[in-house]
Amino acid sequence: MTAVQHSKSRPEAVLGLNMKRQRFAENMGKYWYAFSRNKLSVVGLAIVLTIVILAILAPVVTPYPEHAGAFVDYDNASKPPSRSHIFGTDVFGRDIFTRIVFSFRGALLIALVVLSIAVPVGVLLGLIAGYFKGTLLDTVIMRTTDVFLAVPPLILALAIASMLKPNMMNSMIAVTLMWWPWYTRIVYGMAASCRNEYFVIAAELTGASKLHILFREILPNCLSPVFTKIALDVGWVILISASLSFVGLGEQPPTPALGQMVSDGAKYMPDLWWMTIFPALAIVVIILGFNLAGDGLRDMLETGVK
Amino acid sequence: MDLRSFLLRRVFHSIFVVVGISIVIFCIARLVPGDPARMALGEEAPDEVVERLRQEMHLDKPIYEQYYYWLTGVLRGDFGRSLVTHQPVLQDIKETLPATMEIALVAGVIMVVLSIILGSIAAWYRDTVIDGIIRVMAYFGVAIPGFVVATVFILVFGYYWHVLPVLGRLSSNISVPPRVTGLLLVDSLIAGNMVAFKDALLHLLLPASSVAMASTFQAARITRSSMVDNMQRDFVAAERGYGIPERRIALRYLLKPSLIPTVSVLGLSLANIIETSFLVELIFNWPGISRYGMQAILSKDLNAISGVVVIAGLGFAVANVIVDLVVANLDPRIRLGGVKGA
Repeated sequence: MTAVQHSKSRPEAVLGLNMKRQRFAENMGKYWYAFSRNKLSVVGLAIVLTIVILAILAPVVTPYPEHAGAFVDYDNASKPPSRSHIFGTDVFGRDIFTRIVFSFRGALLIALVVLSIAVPVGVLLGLIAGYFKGTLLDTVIMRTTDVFLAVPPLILALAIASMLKPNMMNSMIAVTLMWWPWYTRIVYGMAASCRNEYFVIAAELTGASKLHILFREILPNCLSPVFTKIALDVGWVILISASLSFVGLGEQPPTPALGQMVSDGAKYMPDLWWMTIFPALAIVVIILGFNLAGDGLRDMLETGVK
Repeated sequence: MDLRSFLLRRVFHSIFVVVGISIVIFCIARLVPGDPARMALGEEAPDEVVERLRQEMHLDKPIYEQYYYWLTGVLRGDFGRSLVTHQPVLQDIKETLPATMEIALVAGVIMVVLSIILGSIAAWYRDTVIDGIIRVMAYFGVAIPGFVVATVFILVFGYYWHVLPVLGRLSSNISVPPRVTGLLLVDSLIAGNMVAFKDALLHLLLPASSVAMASTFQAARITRSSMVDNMQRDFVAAERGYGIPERRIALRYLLKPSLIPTVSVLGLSLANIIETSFLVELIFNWPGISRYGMQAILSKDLNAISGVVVIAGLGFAVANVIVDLVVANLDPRIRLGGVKGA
């Protein structure tokens, strides 16, 4: 706080690099304080970081990286958890731990791809519909959004994915198609209330272009809830895509995916329980991690750093 | 705004939305590569038979004409024939819907009762170990997908403990009560068959709890925080001042206003319930509409898929209206016009 006040009384030029660095560090400290007030957020962040690092370094950190694909070793098939295979092996003798770590890659990739397409598209449409509220454009965009929001997302995603070829790419397409409307709706409300604010009217009067008004005047005011939603959505996207892969509409074998491993293992219950339980636990842990970290991020953004 | 115009507006909105869904689903179904007629008849069918079916299904017409035929059919309740069961889709839906509604109703009861109890306990013992345990359970409850819950339930209750039945709606040695409503619980009561009633209820417990799990914990959290908020209010302080016992304040005056957010959250989780039941029915081999829909999805049965998605949208819309009405009923401050207009 003090650094900010100082900067007001001093000319900006005097503010040395050190000072800026110090202010940055101080802000980071405040962000971290807001985030870590809830200890569970820190646990969530730790889980997320561990999973991301495991996924990136999968070929290095897993004991049997070759087990991530088509690999058969009947001598070691269906072994319960032991020292050499901590989560046991599946009916083909592949190490379950290795396959779980490799399927984290797919789960993270889906979340990344889905959100990085759905969010910009949704935000853009919401921005346009909100700014041109009351016009035909608004009606078309928002009624389309209503339609997509009117069916539970997983069902429409299932229906879409089923009509396409079952693979990773198409499951991403299906989930993305279901995801943008949420962002459109959030941004729409914000943009519609912004568009009558004085700063927008002022910009219009000075002859600023529509693009300038949309992206430089309105957009920055709508971003905070969008980021909050992104933080909370990662876990949901992973959950939905795991559900798709559970019914066989995601990544196809031999490439591992979490949902697919659970449904595979379910065929061999209760004898080979480790084939189901460990992938299931992995799903719970990854979603839990992202949810907890997302909660922390929300607290951080909502309390704000002044 | 009065009740009638509110309902009217919602009904119009719902009709619009369901028509919209039908367009989306229809377009996707028809734009995917592959000939539906060929898929219906299989690879070996002679070409002229396939051609005849194509004409029967109006597949030789442009897409907007196809949609017209399809929509007018749907409005008459004709979704076409299922490629899997070879029955009209509507009849399949009629047969499978009651089983799903049974799960949804029992799940709803579990959700409401359990979330209120858990939420109240957490609020009563706030900031103690009990509150903490319920909070941690809530975090896990939300993070566990329905299909994982269902799978684990089957493993634990079905294979290890053998305490609850895990497959189907009734044990095979019990005669099915005569069909009146299609809801086995109701039918067996009408028939006065308590054995069947108990058996049907036991069969329902696991699937319904798997469906209810995530939303229950979410609603319990909300109930807790709204109760804790309300505890600081003046009306509670006044009641305390009159010397009304704490327990009575909590049960009689605190509960009702604290339930408004709970009901809203339960309303929001409707989508979640429908989705989860799709996978859960598949796992428990439950002969409901979701399992029917999943089979249709897995075998690319386009008529059945469209039917199920439209019905899901319709059910979702109806349930949403009901939730709005319940919320308005609980909270006199909310005027109906403000519910969705905000």
